[in-house]
Amino acid sequence: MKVVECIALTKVFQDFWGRDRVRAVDKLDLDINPGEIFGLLGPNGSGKSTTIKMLLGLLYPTSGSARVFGRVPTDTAIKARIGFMPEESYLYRFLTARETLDYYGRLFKLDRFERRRRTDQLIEMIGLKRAANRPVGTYSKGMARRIGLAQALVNDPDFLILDEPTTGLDPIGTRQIKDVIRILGERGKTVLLCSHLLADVEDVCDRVAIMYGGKMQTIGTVRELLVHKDETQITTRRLDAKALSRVREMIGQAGGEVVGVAQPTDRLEDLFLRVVGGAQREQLETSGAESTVGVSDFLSGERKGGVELVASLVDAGKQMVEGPAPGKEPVEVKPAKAAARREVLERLTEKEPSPAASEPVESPVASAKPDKAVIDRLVGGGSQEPKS
Amino acid sequence: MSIENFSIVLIGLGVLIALLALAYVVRRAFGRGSGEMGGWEVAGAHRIIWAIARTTLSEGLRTRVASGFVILIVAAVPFFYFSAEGDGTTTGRVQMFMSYSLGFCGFLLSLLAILFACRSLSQEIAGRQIFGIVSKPVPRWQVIVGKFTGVMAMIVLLMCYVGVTTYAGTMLLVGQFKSNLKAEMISYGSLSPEQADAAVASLDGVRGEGRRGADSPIIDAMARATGLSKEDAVTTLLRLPEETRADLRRFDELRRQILLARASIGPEVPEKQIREEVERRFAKMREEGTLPPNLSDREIREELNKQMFGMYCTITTNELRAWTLKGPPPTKEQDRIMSLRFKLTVPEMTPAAVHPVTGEQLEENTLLAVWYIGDPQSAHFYEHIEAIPTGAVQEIEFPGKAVQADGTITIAFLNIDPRGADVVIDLEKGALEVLYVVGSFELNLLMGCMAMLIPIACLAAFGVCASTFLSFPVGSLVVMCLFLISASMGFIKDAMAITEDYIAEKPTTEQEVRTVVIGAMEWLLSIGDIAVTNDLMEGRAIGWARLWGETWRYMLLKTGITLAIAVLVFRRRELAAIIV
Repeated sequence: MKVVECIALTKVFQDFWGRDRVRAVDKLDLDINPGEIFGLLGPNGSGKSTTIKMLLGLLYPTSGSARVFGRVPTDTAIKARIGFMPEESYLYRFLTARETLDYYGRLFKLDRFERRRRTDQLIEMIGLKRAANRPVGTYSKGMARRIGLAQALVNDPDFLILDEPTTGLDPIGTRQIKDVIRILGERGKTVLLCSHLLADVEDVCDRVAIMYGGKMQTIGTVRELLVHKDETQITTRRLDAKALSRVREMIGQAGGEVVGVAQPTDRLEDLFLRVVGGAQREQLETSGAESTVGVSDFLSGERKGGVELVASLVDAGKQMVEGPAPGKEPVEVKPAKAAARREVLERLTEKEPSPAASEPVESPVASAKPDKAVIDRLVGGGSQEPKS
Repeated sequence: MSIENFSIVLIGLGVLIALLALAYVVRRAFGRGSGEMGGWEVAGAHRIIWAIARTTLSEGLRTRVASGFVILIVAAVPFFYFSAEGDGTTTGRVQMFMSYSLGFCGFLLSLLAILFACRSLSQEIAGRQIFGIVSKPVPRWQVIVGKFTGVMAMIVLLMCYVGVTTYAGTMLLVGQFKSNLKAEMISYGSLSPEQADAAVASLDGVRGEGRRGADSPIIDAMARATGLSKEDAVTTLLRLPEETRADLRRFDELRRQILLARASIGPEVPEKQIREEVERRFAKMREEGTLPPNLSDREIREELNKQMFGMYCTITTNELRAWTLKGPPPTKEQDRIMSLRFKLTVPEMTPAAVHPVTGEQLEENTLLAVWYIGDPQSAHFYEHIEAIPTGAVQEIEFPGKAVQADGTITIAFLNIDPRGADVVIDLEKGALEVLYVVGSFELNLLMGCMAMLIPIACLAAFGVCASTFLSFPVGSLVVMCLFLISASMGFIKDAMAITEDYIAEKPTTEQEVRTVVIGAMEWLLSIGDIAVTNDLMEGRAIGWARLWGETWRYMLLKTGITLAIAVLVFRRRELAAIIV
């Protein structure tokens, strides 16, 4: 079953007298599959947000149909499986971060202990532990965006809708959000990411669609859309002029043509992260958001429990190094993660096993050990299948 | 154009505007492209409703606009405690304090309910915090009910504060009087501190009919408590300053008439007999050809009706008028005291005079009269002769045993004033009634506070309903106007000339139109009929039956219908819609 299915979805806004004025979305056909990170791109006013609002039941379609988890968006039952982060953090200025998350947890009818557990973990995840008891009205825009993200995750959603999630965030926050999206994707969540910041979408999305004038212009996987099929790129260590001319000669002999030769540069984002990361390692104080990694344990780890999740991740890492345990299916891990997992596994095996890891612990505080967040990010995995 | 046609055109215009406004609301709610948001799930609804209510309550306590009201209300009661003076007596201070405290705070709470309710939802829609709620599994009816509950939770909290502080203030004023009296009894009355203590404590146990002078049961109670003879007790009291003695008399009234809950019954006006007499006289005038030529039949009947009713309420010299009142239950209590409350109006001032037979001095503006209470054949027949001050409400007390076995009580009035003055007891304005104690002041104050919540709940529901389709300033202005119209409905009815004084048995079409329109307005906008402040100031019982009647009519029915409309509109509203 598709997570989102839109058929000829149309939204027309009218003026006071009921005359059609703006066709914001025009006969949009859109499918989003389970476990997919889908990017919806387009310039301002292209109909992205209107589409999202129709999927949430905040707007009603003029014609066509939209289905989320096979049901109409106005059905409140499906909302329990959706997390929504709007384009701006529309929060109650008078509530603190903790109260805000507790309130949204109540709307999902979570019990008190569960709300407290999730609130603690989410606040740690978004790096606002020190500012958790300050009214949200005193937050900077970036801090408010982090709360916006946390409230979207409080119900451990199967389908996460993020509208311009990185707007107003510093590069660290942007990277964190992208990490969260990536990890959630690896855990089988479906994510609809709506943005006009192309780099964000490119970094995390499996498939993207570009809208303009309310219509779908193109759709496909990132690789399909971006690959230059008639060019080949070779990356080597630095070559001198003589070696370069020999390479050009060889390429010419092979019937090819050198289009350009240049030294690769870092992206500014990578440089920024390196500099600020160094400052954080020196533990310089900040009144704003702190840098954190990983996602909260409860996100899709519910079926196993926080401690068991860590154990399963360690197992997954061991399989990478030693091969699968007898009678167990190997866990499929992306090659890019293998080195990182090996490193984590080495660190883990050096330590004595924690007493908490040997038996399930129900206390939310005990299950929220910071190391697990690191493990989550580096090892990936957790639940390998989307929730049904 | 005649004045009648002109008023029909005006009313027609008003109705047209109202219909256009209704059409706008319906179009906004049920326009093209609208959907239905959420179902009517009730499982676990209380948790979500309470979550929304809690946040609304927090908003009320933490945001500046609402908390300004809260501070004002919190400060108002102590302010009135210190500033209430009245006529200088403890009774006057208590009455003024209760009146100002409950009246002012009730008004402020009404305003707060309107502003807060109108703000609660419309601001969330304008500020888009509502996205965070309706994108969660929350049916929209729960949002509406949650908002209403939050507003009412805040109002109830503040009402509790007002009720408790008003009670505390009243008791403090009473305590202040007692401690002053004790000090003066020691210094002026030469009583020992123990005797003064006992004398003051005896005030709460005074029983028997309130009488003036040496016959007052206060004297008996004090004499018993202090061990003094009755004469010594009188002497002691006479040594007190005049203001203190006046205050003591009024304090006894306060204890007997205000700091308790009394039910009342009044005599029935024999309307049928009056109508028959009017018709008989009208027919006779027609027969004799004496009908005034410049008046219509309706106007002549109206005039005759007024004359007959006036005659019924007027008692001439040496005339006896008797009424039978139904209602007070026969009592088995030995010392149950009932009160006859009345107001005598004398068309012309009565001069001071000496009674030609008894030689008694009659002061000006008094009327010598006798009240007979109970069955003359019974042992519990009560008679009260006095030169009664006119133009002001008076009370006399009589034993509860005067009530007959069938639950009726006969009251008769004999005008024996030697100055030949006629007296009017205006039964239509409640100038004669019998009061009897049915409960305590504490319970009555509690019921009063509950009764004050009824109109406020209606206003809160109007506010929440308005906020589903109107912005905060527009919504609050509309509801404020409705509140003002509702508060001045009596005046509007008078101005539109549809009260019984104007409408005859066969009204004209124009009068009927006016009656229907104003009647509909009254039904739509009425938000409660209990005049809590007046009732408490006069020690009248609010009563569970009346409270339940009002609660059912206004808090459950009208508030329920208003919230249902709010839910219907809100369910179909596109919250992210833009008007281009």
